[in-house]
Amino acid sequence: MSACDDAGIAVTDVDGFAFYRGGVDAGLLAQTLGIDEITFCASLSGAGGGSAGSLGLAAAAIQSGMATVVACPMAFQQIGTRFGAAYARDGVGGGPLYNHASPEDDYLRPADLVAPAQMFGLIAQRHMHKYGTTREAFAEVAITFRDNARKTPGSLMTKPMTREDYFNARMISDPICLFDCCVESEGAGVVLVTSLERARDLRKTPVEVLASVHGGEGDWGQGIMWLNMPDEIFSSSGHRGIAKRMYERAGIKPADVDVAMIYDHFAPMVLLQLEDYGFCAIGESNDFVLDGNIRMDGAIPVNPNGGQLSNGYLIGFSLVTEAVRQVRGEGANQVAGAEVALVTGGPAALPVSGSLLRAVR
Amino acid sequence: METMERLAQLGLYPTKDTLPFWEALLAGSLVACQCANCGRFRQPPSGFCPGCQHSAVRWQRLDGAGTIYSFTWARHGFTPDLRDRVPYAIALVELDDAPGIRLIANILDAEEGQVAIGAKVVADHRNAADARIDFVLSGTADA
Repeated sequence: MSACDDAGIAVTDVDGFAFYRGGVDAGLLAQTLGIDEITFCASLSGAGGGSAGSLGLAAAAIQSGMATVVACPMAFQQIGTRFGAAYARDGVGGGPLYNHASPEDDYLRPADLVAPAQMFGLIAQRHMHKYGTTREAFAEVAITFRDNARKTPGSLMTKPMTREDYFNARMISDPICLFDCCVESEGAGVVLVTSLERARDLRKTPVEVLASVHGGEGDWGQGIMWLNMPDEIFSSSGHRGIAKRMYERAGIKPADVDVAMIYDHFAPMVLLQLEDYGFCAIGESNDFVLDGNIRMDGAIPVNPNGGQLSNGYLIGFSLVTEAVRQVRGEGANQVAGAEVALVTGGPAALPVSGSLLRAVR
Repeated sequence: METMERLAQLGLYPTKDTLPFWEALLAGSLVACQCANCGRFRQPPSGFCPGCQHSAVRWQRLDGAGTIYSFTWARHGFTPDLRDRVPYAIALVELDDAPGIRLIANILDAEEGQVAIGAKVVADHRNAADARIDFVLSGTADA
């Protein structure tokens, strides 16, 4: 409702829904909101990888004429076993991503590999070995985002974090420590997508979807649930393919991006996405981050709202809504003059996703 | 059927494509799924080769020697039964006899600092009856 108020659009004008990660019950939404008829309803498969991609589904529906106003809602509640133990097996509280019908997932169990933190630990460790990446760079990510969260009302983590605080934090799964992990939380968000003509007549500055892509390379596949990716892409975020396609479709380059909302379930994965999205060369994110480039006054300010590490974790969607705020100049911790925003979906099993947004003034 | 029941008790639900791996593991050995047409190994085992799109499978018996590709020390007990287990070492092990694939395994009996990328390991079957995929260190890191 507040998204409709913000846009100046009647909630009953919504005729489409686009989701990711299973989404929200569209029938329940339609009956609750009093919508006459839904003409489009689709979800990306996969999990958090699609968080930046439901916008693309919505845009496709608008462009094809299948719908006129598409809502991309995300709501997240932690019920039962928390996401931190997502792949735990039955009998110890089956995690939300546990699927005992999958013969592929069987291969996680005989080594008690149950948590995303452990899986991304394996990827981060390999990146450190291959490129000399250090925990100092992970600390820089965590501390930068904490500083940003402190300037953003509603952030969950607002206590100042020093380098000493970071290195004193307990280890969860080497090299991932407590402050490398996002803050599991609950919440909801929604983005409305309509035609540019219609958007121009609405209350707020229209934001154009320059490109929104999803998918990914077969060699990445199930990613962290597989861990058999070829060495060339093992210590990556799985986003290289879609990043290239996204820039091609938008007709811009990484240097044209003013603010990046990068999916930060775990701090090391921010570095790997900086590489895959072309802000620095592959293997050079350690020095790029330590040179201060992701700070508010750096070459590419990242997660000015504090991201999922310190603001809150909504499986990526708070990054999408913040990207819209930033290009409209409405961020609580605003990147000066931001016109183009990148938002990425989670480094996860395919599909992964990425979107470029630009304010139309 | 006894094997399937035993595996189900362990929370494992194989298909015809993965069962030979688990049968071998319960019997104290490792096998890898290999394309009978092009020779490419694949893990998890499946009925289709992503390299040449053939479906004929050959099972390669492995001598268990391998190298650590990456690792992590699990220190937080995410579930009640793991609280008594931490810290434990999880590693991705590349196998000498099956290039191109990795097994997700635990490294047993290792001290911190000994588990390293490039360290040589060998399969350990002391927990075979529980279908665990375990390795122990067999030499020094050379990577």
